[in-house]
Formats: sequence, C-alpha cells, structure tokens
Amino acid sequence: MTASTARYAAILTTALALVLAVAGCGRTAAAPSADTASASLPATTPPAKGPVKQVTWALYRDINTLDPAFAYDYPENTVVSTMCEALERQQPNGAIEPGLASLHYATPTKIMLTLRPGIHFWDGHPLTPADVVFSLRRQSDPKLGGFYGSVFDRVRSITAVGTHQVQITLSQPDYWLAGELSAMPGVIIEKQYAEAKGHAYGTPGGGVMCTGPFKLKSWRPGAEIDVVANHSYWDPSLRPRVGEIRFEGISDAAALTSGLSTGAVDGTYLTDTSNLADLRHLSGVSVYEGPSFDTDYFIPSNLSGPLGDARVRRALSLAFDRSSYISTVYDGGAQIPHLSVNPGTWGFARDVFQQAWNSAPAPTQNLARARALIRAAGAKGKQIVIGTSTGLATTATEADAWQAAAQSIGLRAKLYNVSPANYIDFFTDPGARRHVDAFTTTTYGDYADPAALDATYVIPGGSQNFDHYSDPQITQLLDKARAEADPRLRARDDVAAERLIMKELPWIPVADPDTFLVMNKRITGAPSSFVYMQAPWLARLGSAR
Amino acid sequence: MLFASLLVASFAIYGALYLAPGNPIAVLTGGRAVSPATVRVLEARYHLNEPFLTRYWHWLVDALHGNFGISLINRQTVSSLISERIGTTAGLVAYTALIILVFGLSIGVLSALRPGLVDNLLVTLTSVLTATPSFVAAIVLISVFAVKLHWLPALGDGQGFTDQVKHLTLPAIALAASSVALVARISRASVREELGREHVQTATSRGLSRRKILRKHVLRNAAIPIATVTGLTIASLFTLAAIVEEAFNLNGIGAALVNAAESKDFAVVQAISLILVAAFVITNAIVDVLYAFLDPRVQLGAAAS
Repeated sequence: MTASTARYAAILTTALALVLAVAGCGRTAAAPSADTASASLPATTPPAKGPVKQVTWALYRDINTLDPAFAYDYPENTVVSTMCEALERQQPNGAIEPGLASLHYATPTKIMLTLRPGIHFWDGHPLTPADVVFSLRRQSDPKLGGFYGSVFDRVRSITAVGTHQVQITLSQPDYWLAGELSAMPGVIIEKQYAEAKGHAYGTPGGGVMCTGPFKLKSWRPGAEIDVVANHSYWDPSLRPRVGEIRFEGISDAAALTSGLSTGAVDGTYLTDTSNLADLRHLSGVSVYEGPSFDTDYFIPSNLSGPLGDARVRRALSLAFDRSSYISTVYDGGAQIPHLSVNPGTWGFARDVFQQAWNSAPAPTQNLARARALIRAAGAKGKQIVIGTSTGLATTATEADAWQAAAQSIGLRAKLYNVSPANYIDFFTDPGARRHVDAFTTTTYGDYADPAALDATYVIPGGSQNFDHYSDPQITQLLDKARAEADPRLRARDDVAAERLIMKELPWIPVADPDTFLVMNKRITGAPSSFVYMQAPWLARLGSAR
Repeated sequence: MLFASLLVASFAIYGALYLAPGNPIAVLTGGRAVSPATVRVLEARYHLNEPFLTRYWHWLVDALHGNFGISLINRQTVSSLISERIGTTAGLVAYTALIILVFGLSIGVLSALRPGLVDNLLVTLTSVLTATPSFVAAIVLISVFAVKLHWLPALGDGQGFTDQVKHLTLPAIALAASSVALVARISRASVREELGREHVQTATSRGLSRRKILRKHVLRNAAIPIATVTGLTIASLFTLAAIVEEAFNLNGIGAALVNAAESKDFAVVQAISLILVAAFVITNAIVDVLYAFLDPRVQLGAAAS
C-alpha cells in the first residue's frame, strides 16, 4: 500500500468507526406519554399467586436510620414502612383509611383517635394510648429535633383518654394533620422500648419496636438490612406472602442494572431514571409505572435578582421544551404539568382536581411570547446563575436545558457546579444558595394532597420557602383549605391555589414523573404507586407463578 | 516513624475535611428542607459549630484512648463500622496482590526470557492493560462474565469463604489489570538489563547452566527494582480499591471512606484514612526488610549514604 492510500484507508476507517460508535450510542427517543393524568395509571400490580421465600430489594443508598422522626428520604421511608405503621393507612390510590386507629374530628379543633383493639407490638405488648401519646409528642419535641416537628405546629395538647382513645386539641382548625398522621409523623413506636433505648432508638445498636407485618431480623449498616414476616400481624388482609426481604443500597446505576439482569436483585423503585430505557429492555424483568407524589421543579431561590419578576419566571416556563426533556430524562414516563403538583396526589375529590386539570392549559413552548415578556420586564441581557452538579446526570441535564431555554429568550445564564454531595446544601444552607439564582429538584409531600407540598414553598415561613415568597391570595386560599372540614371544598380551595401558583410560578413545575417499579418476572404484587413510602403494601409481594 | 506519620496525616486530613464544602445534616435530611430550628438542634448535638482546633483536640484525645467516635450518618461506632468492612477490603487487596505477583512477575520474566513473538504479544497485552482504568475493566468483566455467561456474581460480598472468593474474583481482576501490566513491564525491563550484564555473559561463557545463571545472577539482582515497584503498587491498592468497591457494590472500607468524605462524617474519614496511611507505611517497611534479604549490601538500620 502506498503512503497516500494508507492514509486514505486510515481516515475512512476512523470515519466509519465514529459513525458506528455514534449510531451505537444513540437511543430512539420514546414518544412522550399522552396527556392523561397519571391518576389513571394502575396503582397495583397483578396479585401474587403464591408465597415466595426471599426477595432482595434495592434502594438507591443504604439507610441511615430506622427512627420515623428522622426517616426523611426514599430509602428510610421504604424500609420503615414495612415494619412500622401510622395511625392511619394510605391506600395505593392515595385514599386514607383507618390504620392503627380511626380518626375523627369531634370539633374543628379536637381530633379523637380510637385505637383498633387487639394490636400488639412484636414483643407481645399491646398497643396502648400511652404509646400513641409518646410517639406523637416525640415527633413534635424540639429537643429531639425530629424532621416532622413543623406538621404539629397547631397542636396544643395530646392526651390519652380512657383505655383506647387519644385526644389531640388544636389551637386552630387543621385538617392537614389528619393526612400527616397517615405518614411518618403518625408512626407509632413502643414507649417502653424507646424510652429504654433513648438516643439509640432506630440506630444499629438500638433497633426498633413496632406493630407492622415485617420485623427487623438483622441490620448491617452500609451493607444490608433484613426484615422477616411477622406471622402474628393483626391485619389478615395484609399478612406477608414473602418470608424475608433483604434491602440493599446500590448507588451505581450500572451495578443496579447488572444486579437486576443477573437476578441478584429482585426489585426496586427507581429514583434515578438514567437506566430506565435499559431496564425496559431486560428480558427477565418487568417495569411498571404508577401514580406518584413526586414533582420535578425549577426553583427560583433568589427573588432579589431577575427571577423576582413573575414575568421573567413565566417567560422561562414558556421557553422550556418539556416534551423533549420528558422523553430524554424519563423515557416518556412523566406528564407535562397543568397544575402545580403531580396528579398522583389527588387522594380525594378526584373529579374536582381532574376538572381543573382539564380546563387548565398545558404549558407549551412559545419562544415569541417568552421573548416579549422578557422585553416587557426589562430583563433582556440580565444574568441568572443556575445551580447544577455534573455528578448527578438528571440534575445536570435539567440545568443545561434551563440554561439553553434562558439563553434562547434573551437572558444570560451561567451554571454553578457543585459536587453531588454538596448539591443538597442548596436546600439547607442559605450560604450555599447565595451563589445561585435557581436550582432544580424533584420533591414530594407526605400524603395525597397537593396542598401538602405547595404549602412548603408558597406560604411565608414554609420549610422550602427559600427567599420569603409571599402572595397573600395564595396564602389565604391554602389557609382556608387547611381549616376546611369538607374534602370537596378543600379540593376547590387547593385547585384555586394551584391555578394562582401556575400564574405566579414561585416554583416552576417541569414534569410530573410516574412511580417506576422494577420487578423480576418471578415475583409480583408490590404496589406501583408512591404508597410504598408510607404504608406496608410490600407485604403483597409474592410469587408470580 | 509510623506514629509521626499518622499524627501529621491525621491533622492534615482533619483540616482538609474541615475546609471542604459539605454538610452532614443535609445528608441526613436527604436534601429536603427542614426547619432552621431543627438544623440548630442537630448542629449542637454533633458539635458542628465548634472551632476547628477544639474539635481536632477532642478527636485526638479520644483516639489516643482507643475511642474513634461515632459515625454521624448511621450512628454506629467507628470501630464496629471498620471491623465489619476491613475484612472485605483486606481480602480484596490480598487476592489482587496475589494476581499481580503471579501474573505480573510471570508475564514480565517470560517476556524477557523469550524475545520474539512471545515478547511482542505480551508487550501488546500489557500496553492494553496499562490503558485500562479499573472501572472500565469492571464494566467489561461484569457484562461478559456475570451478565452474559453467568459464571461469576455481578455484585456483593458473599458469605462463607468459597462464596467470598467467588464474589471477589471479578473485582480483584479489575483492580489488578493495570498493576499487572506495570509490574510486568518493570520485571521485563529489569530482567533484560540483568541478562545484558557482563558478569552474566562471563558466567555463560564459563559454561554454567542456564538455570543456575538465571536463579543466582539474573533474577536475584533483578528483584530489587521489581520489589520496589510491586511494593508501592500493592500499598496503593488499599486506596484504589474504593473504585472497584463502588462498581461491584462491595462493603469495604474504600467505599465507606468515599461516602464518609462526601457526607463530612469526620470520625469515619479520620479513622479509615489513618488505616490507609498505616497500611502504606507498613507495606513500604516490609519492602525495606525484603531488600536486606535480597541485597547483602543493604543492612537494616544502616544510615543512608
């Protein structure tokens, strides 16, 4: 071969290799899901046909506590919910039913809890009002520093009444507390056991003592935690068909994929959708999508900059291409938001919410209108800084997309990059927020009511209200909802607040993702909705054959 | 000497972690906001607002009494956290060291003694291996041997001796890949240099058997540079194991160190870092002792000239 022929051949080969490599890397974009509310997705999977001895379940990281006062993230909620129960029980469709107790409002400021008879902790001791009073007081104790203290801010006193009742008196009507008592804040632990363990309760050294369908068998922190079936569980409809569940933390998406592929892992709820498309193609595995409480948001955290003007926020929302974002990041498994919170949170008066959703316009991309808004606000050429982390694939993709959207309408947008571990500082540290105007997140409320999440960022003093956002109209509507006894009227207040939020956009809803459940084809029965975070429905896991 | 290294290292590491951005409370809340009052309670409980020297001093005094503190994140004593995990990392490092010694040395020596086709093939092989980072090797090994062929497990530690050996095989190969290549190249270069020496040529011309020459004159002399590189490579395995532990979801101290550093879990980072420093210092000390056996000119305790 002459030198020039050799060079030509080399160039051709390289070009061919590049083409093949690029072709191999590409992934066909799934069509974005049809614009139907995720409330219509099934919340359960086909029922189990028989028992199964053992199931290995993956979490995105290992749990760091079993204490319900400090269970504040997906892994802890998933594990604690199998073993420990709340006063009320969330159903897969979001409805709330009696759990350990039935709850009713004797007056707008007095809640009566009537304990179900015959319930025992795993050590045989009966569930008593003293345990309920202890657990609730503990959650609201500022000295303990539990993460759910603020949901009790209208509680004046919690006292036992007789042998099987507890009374909660409120300083003002609070119909949201009933919802919170179906989640971690309402989980009841044994007083005697917890007092004996003190600060060690919920740690590897102290263990837990609860009433649920699974008991703690062994816990190797940072490695795995095993729970076994509780054969004397009080509720025959939820007695476990699975003998033992091993929960393992797997942080690496590739390791999770190979674990599911080889059968080392039997199932998981995905919190990171970067390998979703690959998992859909695995042969021994099924992927289920169901309703979720999660909503993906763009958070304007600095209202003293350009994002303080609602017109700029509206313009940004109009500039963002939600369809492409959803097919890229969620492989089509999310919806474009018409309202401020995921339709999976419509746990009551569903028709009221559905009607509001149908009549609310779906945000579509409209660059011309966006640019006009920017000009009207005098924001052309102004700069915003968007927080990102190149170590978090979804966050990085989203931040890049927002940067592109901002730049396409005449704003300047810079990215401020932090490591994955430090990204969460944006939520807890005002010093970290000083560097940025906005950042993105996916977050959720504790129970099926849009107000549960909206209140945290829209009401002055809310735990996620980062820059003193205040809109008296929205605040008034949510306060009205909180004091409203009739669920349908409460839904109307919620909907009115959501409409205003979609107009003012204190936070910009980006997408409403589904719950993603992955199970090996040998098992079935787990709920495909967000209820796995607060109630022991994993007890329905069993054999598919 | 070891104690001095550990003391200096402990101060440097504590200082570096103190200066690094990050917040253990944010890790505990999973990134969701909690009320400022709650944050204050937790900061007080974990002494997060005390000045640097106070915290370092408290840590040092406790450590000298054998108390290495508690993990902020999972509320477990650091000693039990480490004792649960060190077996896996020690096993992984030992297995990897074995692979490096057996394959690295044999490939290198074979390559030097059989110039020509064998040498060329082995040089190409080692070139490919040198360029392969351990996480790339991990992905390839998992997809071929675990997912496609189902010969070995894809992740986890395993229980019982034989099961653990099975689970550690792919991780050890991934970790050893580029080190095998390095040791092979050094061995090859060292042996070839010795083969060219005058005293070896003299011995050959005097009629000594090939085997005797190799054993007494070539390999023995080649051993010293090989021992240096192999010792350094094995000493650094303790730290490099972290990458492989993450890729295979092994419950070792490397992965624990990475997680603890990201969460600013001071007690855990200090304790594991000091173990790694100690492992490095001790491995090098063992290599120094080995020199004394390999090279009669080296005397233990002699001052450097």
